Amino acid sequence: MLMAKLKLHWTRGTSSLLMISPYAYFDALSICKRLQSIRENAPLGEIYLFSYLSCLLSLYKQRPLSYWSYGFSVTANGYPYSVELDSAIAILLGHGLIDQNVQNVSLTEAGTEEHRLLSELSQNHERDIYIEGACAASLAVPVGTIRRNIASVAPIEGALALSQSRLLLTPSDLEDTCEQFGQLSSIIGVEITDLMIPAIFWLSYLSKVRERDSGE
Amino acid sequence: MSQSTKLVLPRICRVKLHSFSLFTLEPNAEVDIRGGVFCLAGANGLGKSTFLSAVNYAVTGIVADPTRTFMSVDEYYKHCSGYSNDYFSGKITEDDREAAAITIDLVIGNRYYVLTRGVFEPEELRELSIRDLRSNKVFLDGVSLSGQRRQQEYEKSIVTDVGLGSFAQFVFLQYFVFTFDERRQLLLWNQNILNQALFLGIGADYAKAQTADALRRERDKAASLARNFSWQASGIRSQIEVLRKAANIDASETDIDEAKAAQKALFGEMQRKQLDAESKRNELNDVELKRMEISARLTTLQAEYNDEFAKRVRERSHIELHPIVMMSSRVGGCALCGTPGNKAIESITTKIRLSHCPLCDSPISNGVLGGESVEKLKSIDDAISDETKNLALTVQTKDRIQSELEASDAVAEGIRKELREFESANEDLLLQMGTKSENVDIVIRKRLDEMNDCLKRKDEQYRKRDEKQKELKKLFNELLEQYRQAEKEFVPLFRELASLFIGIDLDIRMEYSSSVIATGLSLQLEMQGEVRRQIHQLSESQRFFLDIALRMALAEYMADQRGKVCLIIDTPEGSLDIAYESRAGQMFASFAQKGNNIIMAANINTSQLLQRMAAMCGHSKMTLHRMISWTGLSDVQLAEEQLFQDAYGQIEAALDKGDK
Repeated sequence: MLMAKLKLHWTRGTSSLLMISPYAYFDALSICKRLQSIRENAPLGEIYLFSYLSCLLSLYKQRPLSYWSYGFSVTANGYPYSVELDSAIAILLGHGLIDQNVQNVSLTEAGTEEHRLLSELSQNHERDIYIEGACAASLAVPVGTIRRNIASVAPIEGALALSQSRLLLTPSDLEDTCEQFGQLSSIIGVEITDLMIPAIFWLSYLSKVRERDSGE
Repeated sequence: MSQSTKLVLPRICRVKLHSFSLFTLEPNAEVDIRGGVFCLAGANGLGKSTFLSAVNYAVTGIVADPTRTFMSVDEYYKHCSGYSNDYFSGKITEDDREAAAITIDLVIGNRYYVLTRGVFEPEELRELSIRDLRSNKVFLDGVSLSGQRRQQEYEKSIVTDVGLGSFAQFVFLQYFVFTFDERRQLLLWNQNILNQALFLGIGADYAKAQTADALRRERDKAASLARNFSWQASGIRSQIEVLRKAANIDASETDIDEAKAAQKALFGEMQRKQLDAESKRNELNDVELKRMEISARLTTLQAEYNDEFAKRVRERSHIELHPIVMMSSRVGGCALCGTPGNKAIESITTKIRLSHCPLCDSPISNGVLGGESVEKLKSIDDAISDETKNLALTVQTKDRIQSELEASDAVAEGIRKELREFESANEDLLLQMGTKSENVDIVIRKRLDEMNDCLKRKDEQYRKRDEKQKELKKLFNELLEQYRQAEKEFVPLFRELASLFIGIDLDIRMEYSSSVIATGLSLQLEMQGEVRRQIHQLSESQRFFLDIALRMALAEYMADQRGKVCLIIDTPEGSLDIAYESRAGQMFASFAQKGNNIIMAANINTSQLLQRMAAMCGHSKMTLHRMISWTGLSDVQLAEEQLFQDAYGQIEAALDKGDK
């Protein structure tokens, strides 16, 4: 059984090389590192969740949608999902840069070194700002609440209610979120450097909406 | 009196699909089509219509676009030649796109054609051979020809062997006469299509069909031009009236001069603002070009970055993560030879540490990827960063110029509006300005000349229209004469088939209209002595089956030999009630019993259409092909599969009964 599992990682790791996204590769490393420093280990599903939240924060900073360079869809478990992240995680596992223990993943020593090297690249440096903001939000808002709040946004909520898979971040999906970000930025500004603040504000806003809706 | 030319109609004998992924269980399905009725019976949504479309596509190179209105034979062929890609795209999986093809065997007179057409290669043939059935001698072997050349040779041979004037005419007949498909284009209620079909089917000379087509278009064009000239002439007439009115207004020279100066000033200002806007527009174009150049550079850099990154990841040695090595460490011994203990593990890890393969001892990469590879990435990353900054600045510049341009346009538009308002408020004065300086009589005379010119050209176009109409009428008179000869043979054929279906006395009468709006022949149905001129006077299903009867009669008439017709009919049963179903089955069986062929698709149910047809035809004149094994059934269909088997059983029983 163990052999079969290892073999799977080995083959997945090598066959996925062709479709590697450098950004997803770095994001997975970086999210893993930050979640690990907050809570020792990172459940696999949360890598997708925080990458999605980071991507939303890049939109808050008025970066174009294409900036994030890979997309997301929603799956039946309520987590945003990305094929690129999935491939990147398989490669990182296959190369021993992250370790998987049941559903949790953690950076290995080699993974920490890889993250250090890649962080020196300016594009990754900027991505780290969004990732830092997203992951740090979990210090103030429990991860379960973050997941439920993000899942309460229209496209994900609709997909979950109907047990459907859907693409996320389409222009029509983003209308409400952009309007909320617009209102938020009129109060705290777009130039804010610590993106944990808009992340917490926005997630709290979603909590209130959820409470109001469930109260009705 | 000329005798109509008969056609040698094609008969399809075999269809072979290659990698046709819509049929998941039978992507390489092959069917032999014997004489009589070949009925492809299956459940809803299995691809019956697609199969028939694929057959017609292989034969003609096009798939009929259901949204396209028929204008002319050539135009329809030209338009639809691009539609097949869209039609098949969702039906063939990505990895089968290259291999997907259809092979058709067909007989035309004494010629046996075998052709293969790629599903996404409408203008080529992958295979073509034509042999003589009597001598078995190969008349044309396309092995050494290119795909396009094979198609050209095929078109040439088809046109000659069938006896038509062009391949487009063959395609027209195949789709509008020999096929009754999802488009439900009805000959009886579409005069344009009917006339072309009659020209080709019973006309003396097929070139005349093309001439009639061209004449009709030229006539309509001339009529349209004549209407335009008439409209222009009436516009000039109104201007002349305004000028005549202005000539009678008296104003002082000062008033006129002031108006003139104000108009000139406004005009000058408008021109200046328009120039400003134009200059901004040019600036915007320049900056847009710059933005595109930077974007292109960024895309290239991004690709380089991705490549470099993938290369870097690929280079990373991960032998220590090989399943055997990892297993060894977990089981505490060599997982390959089974030697237990730390010594074995130590030997493996030492070799890896010293960058040697633990199995064959060859040197391996040490797996450390720092220095050079990151440096390369860093240099591309820096370049991306610089270009991204450049791009951001350029976008900023573009936004600024865009808003400046919008402001300039708004100002220019404001002045233009002001000028228009001024001219409209001072129309009388300004007209006098023109008339006083030029002499109103001259201006009016000039306008009168223009008006007369328009009227003259209008008359010319109407004359041209009437000439074309006259020529067209002459052609239609010939067709009329041909029809009168043909109707003795053609009308009884139709009456016999249609009466089998409708069950009451039915007749068809030809009407001829020579009006310029709708020149041509139309066919009127008469049921129990009453003309059913309007489409809504028959139910939808009645219309469908009467139209099929008309196609059968027309095809039989135009064929050089009776019993040589091959029609393609897609799920015609629609909403017939049980009694009409039975009669429709009788009509089809009667057509097949004369030796004709029908390739049809039908929903498998207990409908009387299939049962009656089977009972009349027997196995000798009808083949029932069970299509439910070609692709997976839906959950609902699977749950009720026995019902399909029962329905097949009933039809098979009817076929047995037919044999007796």
